[in-house]
Amino acid sequence: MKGRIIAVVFVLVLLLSTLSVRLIDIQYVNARNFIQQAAKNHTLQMIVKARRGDILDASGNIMATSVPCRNIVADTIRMRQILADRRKLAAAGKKKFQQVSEDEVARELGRILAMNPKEIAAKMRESKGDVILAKRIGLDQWGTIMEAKLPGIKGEETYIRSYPEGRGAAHVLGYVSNEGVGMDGVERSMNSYLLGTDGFYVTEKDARQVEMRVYRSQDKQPKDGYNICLTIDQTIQHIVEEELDAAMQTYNPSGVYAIVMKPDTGEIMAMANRPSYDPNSRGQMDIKSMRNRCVADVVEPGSTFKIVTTAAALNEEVANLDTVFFCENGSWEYYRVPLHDHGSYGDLSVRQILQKSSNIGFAKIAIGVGEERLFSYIRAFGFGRRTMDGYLGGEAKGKLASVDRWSKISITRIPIGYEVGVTPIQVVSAMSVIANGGSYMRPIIVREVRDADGKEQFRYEPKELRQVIRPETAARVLEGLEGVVSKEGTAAAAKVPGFRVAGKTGTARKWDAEKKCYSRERYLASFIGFLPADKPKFVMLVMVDEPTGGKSFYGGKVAAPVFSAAAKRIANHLDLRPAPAAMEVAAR
Amino acid sequence: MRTLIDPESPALKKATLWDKLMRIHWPLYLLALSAALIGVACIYSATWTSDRPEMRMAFQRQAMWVSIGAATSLVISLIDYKKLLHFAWGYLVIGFALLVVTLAIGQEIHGAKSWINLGPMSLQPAEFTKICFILFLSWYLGLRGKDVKTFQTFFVSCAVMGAFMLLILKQPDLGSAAVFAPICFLMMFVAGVSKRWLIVGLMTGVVGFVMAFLFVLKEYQKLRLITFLNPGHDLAGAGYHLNQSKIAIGSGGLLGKGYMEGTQNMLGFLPRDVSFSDFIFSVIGEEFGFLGSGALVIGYALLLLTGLSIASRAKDTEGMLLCAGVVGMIFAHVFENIGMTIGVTPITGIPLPFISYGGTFILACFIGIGLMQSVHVHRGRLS
Repeated sequence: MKGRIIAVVFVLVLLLSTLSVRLIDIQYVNARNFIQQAAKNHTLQMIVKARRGDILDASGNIMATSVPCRNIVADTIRMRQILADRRKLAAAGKKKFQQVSEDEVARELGRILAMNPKEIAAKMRESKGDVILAKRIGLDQWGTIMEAKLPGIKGEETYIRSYPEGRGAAHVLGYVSNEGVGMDGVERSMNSYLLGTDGFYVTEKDARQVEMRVYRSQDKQPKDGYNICLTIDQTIQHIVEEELDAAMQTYNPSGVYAIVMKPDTGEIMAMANRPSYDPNSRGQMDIKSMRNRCVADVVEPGSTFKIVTTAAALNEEVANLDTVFFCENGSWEYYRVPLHDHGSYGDLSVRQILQKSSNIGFAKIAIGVGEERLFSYIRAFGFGRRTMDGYLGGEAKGKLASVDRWSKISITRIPIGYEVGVTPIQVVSAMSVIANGGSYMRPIIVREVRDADGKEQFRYEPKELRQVIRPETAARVLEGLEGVVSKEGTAAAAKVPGFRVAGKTGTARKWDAEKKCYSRERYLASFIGFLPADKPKFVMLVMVDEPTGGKSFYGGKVAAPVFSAAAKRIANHLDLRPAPAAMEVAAR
Repeated sequence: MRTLIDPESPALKKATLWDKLMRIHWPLYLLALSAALIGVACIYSATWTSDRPEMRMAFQRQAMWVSIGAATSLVISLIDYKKLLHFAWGYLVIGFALLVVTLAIGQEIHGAKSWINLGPMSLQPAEFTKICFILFLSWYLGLRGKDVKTFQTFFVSCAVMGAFMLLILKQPDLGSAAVFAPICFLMMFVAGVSKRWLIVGLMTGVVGFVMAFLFVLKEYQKLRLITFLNPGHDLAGAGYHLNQSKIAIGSGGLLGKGYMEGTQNMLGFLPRDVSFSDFIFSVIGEEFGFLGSGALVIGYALLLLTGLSIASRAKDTEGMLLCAGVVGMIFAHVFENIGMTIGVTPITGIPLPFISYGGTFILACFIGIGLMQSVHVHRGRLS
C-alpha cells in the first residue's frame, strides 16, 4: 500500500504545482496587466471645470460673465442598482418609494425640467454608465432635482455664459460655443486668456461606481480664466444702442452702425450694430445679424472721405482754408466724364467747399495735391490695411488701388470718397488723427487683462503709430469742419446745444452690382462728428445703410440727427462743460 | 502488508493521557491552527468595509468556531480511532439523516437548501457528512481485508458515495457533492481497490458528468462551466466573479498591497457576499501577493504530506484510510477553491479549508485533523 501512498504524494504535489505555476503566471509574469486593470477599476479622474473669465467695460461693469450651473447626468449603473434594491424592499412591503422604475425617474425629471419624459427614458435606456440628460440647468432647478432625491441622478458642475446687456455690444463681445470656445468678437480673440485651465482630481470609486471622497488624491485646482477689461464705456455703449434703435424705427434702414472713439488714445468707447442679436439665446441668432459691420463691411464712404483730401492739401500747403477754387457752376467735365455738385457754385473758398461739400471743388483741390501725394496720405490715414490687430474678428482690409492702377479720372473720384473701399473703424481711426493733433493712434478695444483676483497681467497702452499731419493742419481742418455744422453747412442737424461741433456728412450712392452703375435708390448716409470742436473728447461715426424712411437719404438729414441725439447724452455723461466761446456763438 | 500491532498490547493500554499528549503531532496541529487564525484576520479584512453590521462581525463568529474546532480536534486526538469506528454504521445513518432533515426543514440561502437553523447559529450538515463518509468508508474498506480488490467492494463504496452525492445535489450543492468523488477515489486507491475498477469508475464519472451537464445541471451551473471554459465570456455577468478575482490576485503582484489595503476587496469589486467565504483566497492573493498565496499553497502541501506520512505509518488499514480520506477531503477543497479563483477549475461554491468563513466546515476540518492526530497518537507501541 505504501507504493500507492507515494503515488498519491506525486499526484498531490503535481496538482498543487499547477496551482503554483498559475499563481506565478498571474502574480508575477502578467502582474502588470492585472495591476492596470485594478487601477482602472477603482480610479476615477474627475475634471473640475475652470471658470471662464469675465469681460468688463472700462469702469469694471460686467459685460459677459460665467454663472455656475449644472449638467444633469444619469449614472444608469447606479440607478439600476438602487431601483432594483427599492423594488425588492417595496415588494417585501418594508418601505414605499416614489420611484421604483427608470420610467418613473424620467417622468419626475421631465416634470422638473419641462422636458419630454420619453426622451429622457430613451436616453437612460440606451446607456451603460453616465449619460447627460440636460445641459446647463440653473441652480434653482438643480435644487428642485436634489430635493426630489432621484436615484443615480448627478449634477456636473459647469458654467453658463451670461450677457447682462443682452443685445448690447453683442458684436464686440461675441459669443461662446457649447464646448466653451469663444466664437466671435472679444470672446474669440481673447479666448486663450478667458479660458483658464481645467483642474482634475484622482479619486477612488467602489464597485457601485460611488466616489470614495476619503481617497481623493492628486488634486489639481482649476485655474480660472483671466478677466478682460475693455475700453468700452457701458453707458456710452448703451446710449449709442438706444439711438441706433431709434434710427432703425425712424429710417427703416437695412442697417445702422456707430463707433465712438477717444481720439487722444484710440480707445473705442462704443461700437454698435443694427441688426443685432442676443448672445444669451443663440437659438434665434441669424447669420446676417451676427456680422460686426463696424469692422467687416467695406463701403464707399462718400463725402466723409473729403476730410482726408482737405488734410492732405492743407498739410502740403497746396491751399489754405481761404484759397478759392472755381466750382464750375455745378457741372464739370474732366477727361470728358462729367462731375456734378448738388448746387450750382461759382468761386468757393476751401472753407466753403467743405461746408457745401462741393465735389468739383475737392476734385480740383486733389488735382493740386497730385496722385502720389494723395495716395500716400490716404495710406497714412490708415486706409487699405487692417487696424485692429485681430482683436475684433472678421476685420476687412478695405480697397485701395495703388496709383499705377488708377484711371485718369480717379484723381477726381477718390478724393470725394468713391473708388475706395473703407471700413467704419478705418474712418473713425482716421478722423481721430484730425481730432488729436495729427497722430494716428492704434485703435484699441482691450485695455487690460486681469487675473481672477483682479491683478493686472497685461495692459494695452495707447500707441501712436505715426504722425500723419502737423498739429496746425489738424486745427485748421477742424476749424473748417466746424463750418459744416452750421446753417450754411450740410449738417445743421448735427448741432449739439451748448457745444461747438465739427463734422462732415456723407451720402454715397451704392454700387449696383446688377446694373453695373451707381444706384439712384440705395444710399449710404453717414456723419462723422467731433465734440467739442476745438479739442475733441470723442469722435463719433454714424452710418445709416439704405435708409428708406422716405423723407430723405442725405447724411445731413439721416445720420447727423442720430449723432446729435447721442452726442448730447454722451457729453452729459462725460461731464463736458460747454466752452465759453461756444456760448458766445450761441448768444449771438 | 503491514504487521498489525495487537490492540490489546499491554504497552498501549498503559498509556496515560500525558503520554498521548506528548505523541500528538504538534506541527500539524499548529499548522492547522495558524491557518485558521490567518483566516480570521483575512475575514476581518474582507468585511470591515461592508455596510452590513452582521458582516463586519463575521470574524468574531469565525474566531469562536475556530476555538470550538481547535478544542474538538484535541479531544478527538486523544480518543482511539478504533473505538470511533465501532459505530461505523451509525455514522452512515447519522449522515443520511442529517441530509434528509436538511432537505425537509432546511433554510434556503442563495438558492440552495443547505442550512439548518438552530437559533443562534446555522449549520451546513453536508460538511459533517463528509467526515461521516470518511469514517464509514475507512471501516468498510478495512473490513473487506483481502476482498478489497473485488468489484463488490468498489460497487458498495461507490453506491454509498452516490447516495450522499444525490442527497446533496438535491439541495442543490454541486461543489460539496463533487468533493465526495475524490475522497472516495483516493480512499479506494490507497485501500488497494483494483486499478481496473478505478479506471471504470473514472470513466463512469466523466460520462455521468456529461449527462449531468446536459440533463441535470441548472442554468447558472452550466453558465459557470461555460465561463470556465471561455473566461472572456460575459464579463459583466457570469464571468464577473472570475475576472475580478483574477484582477485581485494578479494586481497583488509579488508582495501584495498590504493587509487591509486591497482595493478590489475593500471597494467591493470582489463581490462582498463571497469575498470572505468562497473567494477569501482572492483577498489573500491581493493583499499578500505571491509571497502570501505561495506560502499558503506550501502550507497546505506540508499539511497534506504530513497527513499522508501519518497514513503510511498508521498501525492498521483503518487508520491509514482515515488519514487518506481526510487528506482527500482537504485537498479536494484546496484545489477546487484556489483553482476557481485563478481560473484553473470551474467556479463551484466550496470553501477553502481553515480559512473561509463558515463554522460547520471549520469544525469538520478540525475534526479531520483530530482524526489524523488520533491515528498518529495511536500509531503503535508507546515509548
